[in-house]
Amino acid sequence: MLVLTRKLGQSITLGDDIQVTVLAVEGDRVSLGVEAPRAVRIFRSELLAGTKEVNREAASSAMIHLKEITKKDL
Amino acid sequence: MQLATTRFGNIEIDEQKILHFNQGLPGWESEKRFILISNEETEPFHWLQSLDGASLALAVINPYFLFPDYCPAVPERVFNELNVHDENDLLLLTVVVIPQDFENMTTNLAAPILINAQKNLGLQVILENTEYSLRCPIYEAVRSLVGGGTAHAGVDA
Repeated sequence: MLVLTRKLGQSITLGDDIQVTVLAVEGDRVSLGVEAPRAVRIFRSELLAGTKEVNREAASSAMIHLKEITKKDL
Repeated sequence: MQLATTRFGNIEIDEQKILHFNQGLPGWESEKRFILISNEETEPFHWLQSLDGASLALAVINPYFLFPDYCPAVPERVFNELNVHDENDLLLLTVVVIPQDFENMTTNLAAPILINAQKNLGLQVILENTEYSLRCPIYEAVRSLVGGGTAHAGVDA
């Protein structure tokens, strides 16, 4: 992992056209601004790991009882 | 055509309805072809079945039936990737986890699956700046939706 130290207002550039800027620092929260071409996917890292985990669980979902759950009461 | 699946056995599918997920799904980036399986008995749940991996099937649901106010901010690049101009031409589904104790079932509102049914394209997008949950409980909402009073659930658990 490359570690860079930035102050408020400073930025780092990734490749040719992605820029990440430190916009605000409040306690342990850092606000980052990202400028990138529209085609670049940007999201909170934990959401990718989390989605993979949820997808895995979904793939081994219990199939039984679905009909019990969706059965309409008469 | 015939498709062998782990969950549903051998099923007949309409080749015209095969969906192409050019990026696969997070966790299965190399599985690019899926089919949506629906069954009136298990509505509002559907299944996204992989054609390339017989054992890969994800339960999905239309979250708007459960949460009419759901309002995900879909990034513009997704419209290009799915070859649509209008958000309304897309079908949006969210992945459902059904554990053994199914009353704890949840859906992933932070990463919906979007499908362009006209062009047979699909992808799962991780929302960029979202407060929506990866694991939003849905059991109560599902029971309300199917008009259930006292749940029959719990039988043979």
